[in-house]
Formats: sequence, structure tokens, C-alpha cells
Amino acid sequence: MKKWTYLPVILLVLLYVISMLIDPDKISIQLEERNLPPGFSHLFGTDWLGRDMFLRTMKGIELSITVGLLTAVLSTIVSFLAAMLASMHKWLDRLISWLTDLFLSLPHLVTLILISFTLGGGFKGVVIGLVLTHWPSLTRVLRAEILQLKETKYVKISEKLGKGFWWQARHHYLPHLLPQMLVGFTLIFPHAILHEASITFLGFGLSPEQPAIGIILSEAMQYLSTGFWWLAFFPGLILLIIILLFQICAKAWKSYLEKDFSHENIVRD
Amino acid sequence: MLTAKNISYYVDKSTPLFRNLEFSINKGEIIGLMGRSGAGKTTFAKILAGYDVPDEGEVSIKQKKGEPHPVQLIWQHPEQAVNPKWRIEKVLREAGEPDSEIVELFGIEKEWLKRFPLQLSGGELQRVCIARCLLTNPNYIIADEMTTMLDPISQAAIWKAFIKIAKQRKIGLLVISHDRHLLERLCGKILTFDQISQLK
Ligand SMILES: Nc1ncnc2c1ncn2[C@@H]1O[C@H](COP(=O)(O)OP(=O)(O)OP(=O)(O)O)[C@@H](O)[C@H]1O
Ligand SMILES: [Mg+2]
Repeated sequence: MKKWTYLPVILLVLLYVISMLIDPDKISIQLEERNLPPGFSHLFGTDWLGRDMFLRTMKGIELSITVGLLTAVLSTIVSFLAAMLASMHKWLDRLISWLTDLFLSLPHLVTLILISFTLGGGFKGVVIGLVLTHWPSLTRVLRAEILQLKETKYVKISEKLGKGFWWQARHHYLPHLLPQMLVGFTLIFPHAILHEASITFLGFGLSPEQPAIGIILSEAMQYLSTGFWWLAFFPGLILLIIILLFQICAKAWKSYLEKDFSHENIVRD
Repeated sequence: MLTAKNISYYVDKSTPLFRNLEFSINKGEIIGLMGRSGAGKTTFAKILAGYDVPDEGEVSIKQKKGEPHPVQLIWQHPEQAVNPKWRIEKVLREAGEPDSEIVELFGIEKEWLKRFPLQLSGGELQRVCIARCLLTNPNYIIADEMTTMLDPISQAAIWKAFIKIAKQRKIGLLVISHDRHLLERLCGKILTFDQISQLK
């Protein structure tokens, strides 16, 4: 794998750490510094209450990444469990296939809004909504892999050696599926961030007190017409950059996997 | 005693591979089985070891949940029988704590343990598979063309060790092979597949 494919990850971690280090109390209201355009003292300008937009954006990014990470981790775990359950029994397989088809046939955003709204919105509602809408596609991929692996001699032998289903899941299936899960994770992550921002923007997601990018953008909407372009431009740009970085990363990993994993010799290095 | 009663196996509904097969073996007994290619010997071996179910008939010994199958099968191609991503150490450990007697008897070297299956020769890997199978303490073992791909000298060495431990532990052994000389040397009794399966 080429070294540069790690670059987006490193950048992202850096961004996350920096944003975590920012003290939220520093984002104070300073009315005498209202509506300043971007400059040296305020890189991204200030808003109508004189708050520094760079700091607000960074705090928003922190929240976005937290939501993205949590969702991507949970969705990946749910996908693995669902795919393993599907391999246990014909009926479970049908049920899970039906559920994945159902979720995949509905537009993400609509299901997401419905679920999040039903759960009362907020951080919990958004994360659960995102997980529930993002597990099916990875489950499909994993299910197909599992079906193949189930037919190999060494997995059948494992059972005859007295190893139970969950032992096999842990030792045979999980290591085999890990690369696919990693790709799934990197694909879900930017999706989740973008979806969180959109439903928050629409008012179905995180609450307005939270420093989310979606909130920043929707607030900025009222001021755009007055010419304060920086209120939406920088937060939007940073969000876009993160998503692009991650998609580059996911693509590189995916093509790497498709090339090398067919030979099953990745363990050597 | 391990018995197979009245076993029939159909490739599809109208074409039986074999029918009304009768077979039995005692602990400590060594039986050879011959038969033309495609007769169904491997299929029968899989049925005995629980990898496949017959369309009719019963095998007397079954696996208990959470325990190793008392009837173990050793496959012809060891490279398909082990997870290619596991080190040999883990391959062995899947069956139980490696037992130094077995490990020594089959000449499994310490340095192999850290290697991956593809880094061993076919013969070396087959010895690992035999050792793994023995670690489950089976009552019966079916060796299906176990040493076909080996040269005569390593073949002889493996069989010597294998027969020794089978006698010591009173394991019932079914040896499937096309090699009549090998079977005559090893087995007290030699059957042909046509004898046990009355396919009319
Ligand atoms: N899954 C399957 N579907 C259809 N036919 C099968 C399947 N497995 C095996 N057969 C057929 O069943 C027959 C018996 O196969 P088997 O491997 O049991 O023969 P064998 O006696 O072990 O032969 P050999 O001596 O060459 O190893 C063969 O004709 C084979 O093509
Ligand atoms: Mg065969």
C-alpha cells in the first residue's frame, strides 16, 4: 500500500486533536468585534455576536468527527453481527436480506429523518438513525464473503474439531473480513458526517445549542444575503475537505484490497 | 464400534452414487478400502466423519455439541485443510494443547510453528494436519489418500508413526488408497468399495 494513503488519516487525526484542545469558553461573545471579515486576528472572520468563526468551525468539526467515528464504528459492528447471524440459519438469512433490501430501497435521508425524529433528535437520535441507515450495504458485502468462507474446508474442519459458531466467528471470520470492514468503515464515515450535517441543518438533528457544522450553516443562512459570506464559506469548505480526504482514502484502500486480497497473502508482511 | 447401516447417497434424485452401504469398524482395528476413482469413497468418508449427511441410513457415532467429532477425517490436500492466514502454532492449537509426544513423533520442528501454511511443503503440512487430528483424541480416523502426494520414503515414515500411535491409543483406522501394496502392509483387512456398497 502506498504511504500517501495514510496522509488523510493523519490529517484527520491532527484536526480532531487540535479541535479537542480548543477551550469552548474562548468562543465568547464580543459585541465590539461583530461581523468582521476574515483577517489575521480572526482567520475565518467573526459572526453577528462577535464570536470567532475559526474556533466555532473547529468545535463543529470536532462534533462532526465524533458523530462520524461513533456511527462508522457502530455500523461496522452491526454489519458484522448481522452478516454472521445471517449465516447461522436460512430463516435468519432471509430476514436479514429482507431488512437490508428494505433499508437500501428507501432514500437514506428520509429514513434518517424519520428515525432521528422518532427518537427525539439530539445526539443519540442522530447516531442511532445514522447507524440504522448505514449498516445494510456493508452487511451485504460481508454476507457474500461469509458464504464463501463457510464453504472452505478449513472452516468445516473447525467445527469437527469442536469449535463453536462464535469461536469461529472470532478466529476464522473476523480476521478474514477485517479488510472489508475497514473499507466499509472509511466509506461510512464521510457519509455519516454529511448526513448529520444535513439533517441538523434541516432542524431534525442535533440541538441548536450544540456547536455543530449543520447549526452553523443554518444560522449563517439568515446572514448570507447581507454579504457575510465567510459565515458559511469556511465551515462548508472544511467539511468538504474532510469528506474528500476520506473518500480518497477509502478509494485507495478499496483498490488495494481488490488487487491483493484475492491472493490471500497479506498476512506475510 | 463405528457402524454405517444401509447408507445411500444420491448425486441427484434419480442417480444414486451408492446404495445400501454396510460398514463397521472396531476401535484398534485397521481396515483398508480400495475402489475405482469416482466410486464414492471420499463421499463415504465425509459421511462417516459428519461432513455430509446420507440420503438414507444411519452412522452410529455422531458429534456432541461443543466437542470434537470422535471420527476425524484426514484430507488428501492439506493446503485446503488449514486457514492460510494462521501460523502453524494456531493451526495446531485449534484442536487442543500441542502434545510433545505427537509433535516429536511426526517430526514437527519448533521453527515451523511461527510459519504460515504456504511456507511448509505439502508433506510437512500433512504431518501438521495429522498431528492436529490426533490432538482431539479421536476414537476413529479416516485417512483418505493421506500420503498420495508424498515420496515413498516420507510416506513410510509418516505411516510408521501413525500406525504406532493408532495402536497405542486403540484408534480405529480406515485407510482409503489406490495403493494395494500400502494397504497390504498396513491393514489387517482390505475391502473394496463394491463389496460394501451393493449398487445394482
Ligand atoms: N458436490 C457434488 N456434486 C455433484 N457430484 C459430486 C459432488 N461431489 C462428488 N460428486 C461426484 O461423486 C462421485 C464420487 O466422488 P468421490 O470423490 O466420492 O469419489 P472417490 O471414490 O473418492 O474418487 P477418487 O478415488 O478419485 O478420490 C464423483 O463422480 C463426483 O463427480
Ligand atoms: Mg477421493
